[in-house]
Amino acid sequence: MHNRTPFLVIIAGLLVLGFSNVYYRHVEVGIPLTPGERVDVWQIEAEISFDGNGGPATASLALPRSGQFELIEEFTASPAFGVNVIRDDTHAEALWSKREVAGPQTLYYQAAFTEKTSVDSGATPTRPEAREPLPEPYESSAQAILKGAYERSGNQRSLVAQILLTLSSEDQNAALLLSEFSRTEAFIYLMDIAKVSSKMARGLLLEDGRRNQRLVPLVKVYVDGKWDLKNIESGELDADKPILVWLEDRPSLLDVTGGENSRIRFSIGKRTSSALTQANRSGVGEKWDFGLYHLPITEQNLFKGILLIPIGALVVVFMRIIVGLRTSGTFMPILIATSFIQTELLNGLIGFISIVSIGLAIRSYLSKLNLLLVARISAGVMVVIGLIVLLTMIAFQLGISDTLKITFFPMIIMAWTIERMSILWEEEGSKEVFVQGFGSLFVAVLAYLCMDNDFIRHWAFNFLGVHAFIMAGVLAMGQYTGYRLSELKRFRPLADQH
Amino acid sequence: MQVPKMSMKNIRLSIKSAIEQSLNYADPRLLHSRGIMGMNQRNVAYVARYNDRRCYPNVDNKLKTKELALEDGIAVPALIDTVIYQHDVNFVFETLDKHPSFCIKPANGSGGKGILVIVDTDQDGYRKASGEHVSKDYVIRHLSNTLAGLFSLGGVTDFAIIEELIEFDPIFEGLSHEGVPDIRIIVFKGYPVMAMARLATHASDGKANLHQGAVGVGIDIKTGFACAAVQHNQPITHHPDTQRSLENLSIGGWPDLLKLASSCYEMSGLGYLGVDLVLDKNRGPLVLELNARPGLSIQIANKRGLLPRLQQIESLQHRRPRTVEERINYVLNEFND
Repeated sequence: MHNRTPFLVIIAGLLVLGFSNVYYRHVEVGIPLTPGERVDVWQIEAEISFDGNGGPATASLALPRSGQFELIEEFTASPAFGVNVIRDDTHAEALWSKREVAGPQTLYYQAAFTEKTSVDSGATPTRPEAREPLPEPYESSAQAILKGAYERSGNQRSLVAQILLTLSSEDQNAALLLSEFSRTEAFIYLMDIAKVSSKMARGLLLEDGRRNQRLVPLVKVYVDGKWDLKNIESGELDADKPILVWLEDRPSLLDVTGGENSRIRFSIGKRTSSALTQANRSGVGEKWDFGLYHLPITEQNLFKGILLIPIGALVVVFMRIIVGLRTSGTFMPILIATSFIQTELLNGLIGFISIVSIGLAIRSYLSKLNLLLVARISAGVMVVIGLIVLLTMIAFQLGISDTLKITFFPMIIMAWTIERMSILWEEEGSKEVFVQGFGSLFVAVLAYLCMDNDFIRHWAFNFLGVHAFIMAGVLAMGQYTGYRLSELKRFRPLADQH
Repeated sequence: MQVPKMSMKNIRLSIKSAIEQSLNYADPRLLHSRGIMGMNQRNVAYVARYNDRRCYPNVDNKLKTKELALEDGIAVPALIDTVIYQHDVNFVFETLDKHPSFCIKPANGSGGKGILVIVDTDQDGYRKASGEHVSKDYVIRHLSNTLAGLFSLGGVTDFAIIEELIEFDPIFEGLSHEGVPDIRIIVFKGYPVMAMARLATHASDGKANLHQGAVGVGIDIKTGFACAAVQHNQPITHHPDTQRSLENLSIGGWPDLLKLASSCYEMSGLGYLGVDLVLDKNRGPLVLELNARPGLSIQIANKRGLLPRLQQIESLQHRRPRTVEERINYVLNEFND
């Protein structure tokens, strides 16, 4: 055996290429794995109002940083204000400014978010710094709560749970502590002295059709290597209501200078959208995302067809090398399958069989005329065109307009098919014509069923890496030296002896 | 009540045999253990590896094969004339008039297509092998069709070669119905590895292709005696049309046939080669045709796989190329049955 290593390296390379492309397209770009997949899109509107003092005013609204949600689109609406949306490594904010502001003002910030498929775990925290002890008697009650919780727990997670439980119980120490501090503040302090990283955050409970919402205070606790979000004020989080963390590591949501009576209200709406559309919309900024959506629609549609051909080729390779089916013309079945896509299967089959059989009858007469080959094939092409015209006219008269699509049949290929089959008929007899004719038709139907599948179409067009998989499969089958399925039958007499 | 014990193994075996019986499929492991070569393996491991593309025209073009054979002193049917241009078609009859019997073939034909055999010329015209008489116009039309590429692979324009007719050796008397009996020998790296005689039948319409119903008679590579015969994949003992026994068929002068086949290796440059021979009553064995992609039916006719012998030859490591005689001696002495 010669050295197979380069071959295996190529196969492995193609598989890696294909897999990384699929991974990138799905996880980074967000292309869904199935075509019909839908995602929830949350539309959030922040309405800011304040009264201007008559001088210059600025309003700065903290914006959510990327976390569990992904920003799809955002825009601001604000009469005569200059707007700046600033996003960098440390902070994100929208900044409105105007030289002279007097009277009531309303500013709008709108954004659409989707839930991310992959969630960043967030930065690993630094250890909590030692804090100034609280004034007595609060410090001793805090210590007592921690001590009790510590004794009743086994690890960090249960310690956090015990502290939470104590804070919401009738415990005397807890009652004392909560008389002075809010539940969140008390919890944060207890986390600090328990040496558990935690931070305050504020977020929006997402629920469809809500207006006049405020941010709710939340606490993020770092347990077992990831940040847990907790709503201390109202207890446990409702799993059905996702929370958009709007604010963390920053005390104020809205800063208005040069104005007063500022307030902010959120309204929330939900719509569902095709995951594919969303992925492509959010990816518009990136020029190179291995997708074809940046191309003009015409080219996209062209590629939607072209990229199905490898699927058909894979089917043909499989049927010929592994199964051992005889077809008339190696890739003729693929071309027939692509025209079936246009005509629908049944119409296509009826059209194909009738054109080929009438064509064969006419060809048998042409062969009596002793024509030279090129002239004979050209005559065949014209016969095929004539048949298509005729069938279309008949179908139109009968009111079957679906058949009109048989014009999609590749005429040159049909003519060659007729020519080849008629030679086959003369050389090998009618049986071989039927074997090869139905073999070709069977492969064509199989290729059609694969190519017309929504799922496969989606993958072939959106995940170009799939074609690397197909290439690897075709190459691997190209080196297959085992028996074909048909040979198991052919060599049957050799297995029976002795 | 006694319930028959159904172990997993029993179930598996019964399912397997049910599948094999209903679909008539052989167990691939069994075929493998018998050294049967499949089409994929032939293509990848032998045809693609041992047959240089550049050498294909040596065998695809019959005229080139004939020229090479004459150069190497390999016996082939004598060439009467060639027809290359349509213009020449009418002039060829000056030559044909001197030959009462002849055979017209397309130079690049395939599968026996387009071969016109004229066994005699008399006052009624040209007599074909079937006894039917055809006119001069028929021969002209046949030549025109050949030149137009009607019988050639891919339909490219072709030319016709006109050969002397072979007078079949009487050993095939009554063994071939309306057709050409020939002997196919697979030659691997110059070593003949397997042989069969192909006899036309009524079912095969005078053609010698096994899948069309011709009889394949496996010929023992060391002795030239018939070892098995099949038609339509089924073992037979007598020719289906003439009822003559196939078991007593033996080919005289077998080592000469082996030498002739073996020398086609140097001539064609192809490592995996099918050599088609005919036995002429007067001239002895002649090379009729060479094939760069010989079929696998020879395994069925011989009831044995090609692989053991191919692998035996592959394992030979000679620094000096062996001569034809050395190769034949190896075949006669070292192959086991």
